[in-house]
Amino acid sequence: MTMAKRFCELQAHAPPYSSGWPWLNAFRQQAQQAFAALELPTQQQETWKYTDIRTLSETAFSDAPPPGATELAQASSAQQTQALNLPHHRLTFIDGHFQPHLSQLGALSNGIKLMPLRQALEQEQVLIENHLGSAVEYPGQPFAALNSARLTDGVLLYLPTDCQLSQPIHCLFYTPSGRHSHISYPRLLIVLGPGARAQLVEEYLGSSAPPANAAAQCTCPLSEIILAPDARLLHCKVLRESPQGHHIAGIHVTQAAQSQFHSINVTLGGGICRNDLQVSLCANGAQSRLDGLYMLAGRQHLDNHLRIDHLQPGCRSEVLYKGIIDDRARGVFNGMAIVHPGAQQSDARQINKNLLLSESAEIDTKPELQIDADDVKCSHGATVGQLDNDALFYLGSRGMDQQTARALLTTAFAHETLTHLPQGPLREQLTALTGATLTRQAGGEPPDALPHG
Amino acid sequence: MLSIRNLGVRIDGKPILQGINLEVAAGEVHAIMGPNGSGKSTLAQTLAGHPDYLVSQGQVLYQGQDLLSLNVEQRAAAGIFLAFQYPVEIPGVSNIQFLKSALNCLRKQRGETELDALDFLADVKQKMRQMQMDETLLYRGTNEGFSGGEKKSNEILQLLVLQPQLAILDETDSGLDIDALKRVAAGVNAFRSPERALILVTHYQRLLQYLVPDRVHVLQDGRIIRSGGAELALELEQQGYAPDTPKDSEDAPNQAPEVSDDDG
Repeated sequence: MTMAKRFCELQAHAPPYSSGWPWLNAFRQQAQQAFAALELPTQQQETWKYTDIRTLSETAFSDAPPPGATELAQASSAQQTQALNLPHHRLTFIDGHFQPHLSQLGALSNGIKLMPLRQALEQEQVLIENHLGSAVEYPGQPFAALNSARLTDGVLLYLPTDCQLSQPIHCLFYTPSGRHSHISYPRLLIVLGPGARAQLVEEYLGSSAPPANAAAQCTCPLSEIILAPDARLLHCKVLRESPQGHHIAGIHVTQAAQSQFHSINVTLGGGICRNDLQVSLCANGAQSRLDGLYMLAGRQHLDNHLRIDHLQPGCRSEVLYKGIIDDRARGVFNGMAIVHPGAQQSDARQINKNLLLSESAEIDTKPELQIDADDVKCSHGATVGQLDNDALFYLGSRGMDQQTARALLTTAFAHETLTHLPQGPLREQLTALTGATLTRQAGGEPPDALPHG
Repeated sequence: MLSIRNLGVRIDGKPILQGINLEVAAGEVHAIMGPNGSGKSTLAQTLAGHPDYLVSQGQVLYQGQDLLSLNVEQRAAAGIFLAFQYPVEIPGVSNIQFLKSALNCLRKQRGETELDALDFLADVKQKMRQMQMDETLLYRGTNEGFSGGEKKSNEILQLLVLQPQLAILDETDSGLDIDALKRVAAGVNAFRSPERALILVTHYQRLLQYLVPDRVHVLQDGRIIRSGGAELALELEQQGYAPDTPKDSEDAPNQAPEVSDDDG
């Protein structure tokens, strides 16, 4: 039974959350129809060629119920000991359900709106009507349609004109491990008015020590990001699911003139994971920097699909994705930059670099350019390699044991992707977190524990 | 301190060193000279423990222990240091991080405690001033984008910070202008002491004006064909490694093929 069929059957029953708001019901219904019209992807399709989701579509996922005491305790402990420590503004979810007691929504000035999406669906209907779904197109994106059809909760962030938030907003999505297979559909709507500036972190965290009989879990989030002229967003996504935690995500961005979007996409753990990151540079001077770092081990599978549309002249996009793949893990990178007719003076660069640490590790990488303008600067490249033996010998000749040398080299390779982050707790914690992961992979002891206040 | 006996080395099955004998005592400076391809760098890399260089015969004793049984980092911990002819660029690992990791690993292998971070930094900076190096190089990727002179100076900085017993300098003079050469030589001279020894692998006599060797050896086709005092370097400078070099010179060391590898 496919997930699509199963989903349609589920729809015969009462939806888990029904709104008295006709606009929302129509929005969901339209998405449901779009989803029903789309087949779930198979490897016959070019964009899903290397990612087999049969194990997902054959699993009987049910909508996650609200968490019980066990799940709450798990999440609370994970938040304190494992999660990033960015306590100023935090929204914590368990299996997609908002947890006010684990969240921190301090007073925000100047008409900033930061709240669970469920609350926004009641209180901010004009904002929702104006923006929800505006950055997403369903054709080719069945999981985006599925998310819209099932959306119940998530995050709304709205910043009015010239409003600036200096502290990052931390959205923590915790997936408890358990004996039943659950699925959740978090939705994030991020709207920055002209000249507004913010930083938002999406962290997906699974149990660090799931029991041996833990069932498969699935998270299917969708983030819509709408940047007005001159707005600037730093968007960080950290994926640290357990090996049973599957993850099929979309991030869809539209950028107006002179806006700047900086994405840092870090994957450290999970089962079958897919990120569709789509950026539309809609007006002159819009800039996107998309950095990615993935460290895959065990039998993890990660597919990063990026698409950047240069729709107007004078826009710039820069992609740097780096991966370190060990054991029998597999990575997929596909980056497509499209320079549309008339989008002169476009500047599009893409680099994907990979280190394979084992014989069975695999990467399928394909940076692509499609250029329909003549006055452009575009480049792309991909590399796949092993650790440099000359460098290992050099470090060894200075007294470093193999573990230390390997950890130092892989960390140096990885951390290039973090160099564009501003100095501050986010950068420090990502550096520590990725460094500890790599040191562990190299067989050594992590140098320093993640600082927690 | 170092005793090389009938050492033979192959790379990819091809013999490069064919029976090297060399004795280096503490406090001594030895220069290994010779034309390109004579095996000078192979000797240096073999002593440091490069895994691609396969020892086919002979023995190397260092401070009485079998050097060849140690891996590269164990040799470093035992006090051997190779200044590379082509120092490796390591983007993303800052010079200071590199030095600190190296020193702490060495101290750990020797059973010593980690150095205090502030003391360590002060020590490194003092040695950089001694080498007339720009302090900003500490915070750049190790050797990344360094000029030829900066790379060689950086090798000597590592030498001064890590304080080995036996330093092997592989063509450290190549590519240096005269001022850089003097700075590097001054750094190496600061390292010299009665307890330490130095092997200079070089193509030219130039460096030896500033670092006067006790012994000079001429390497050709994988063998030491001549040895002499410091004056031999001058002679070579004037006459070249010409084929008419007397093979049975009085200065030639006893090549003693009877020294076998089961010795000791």
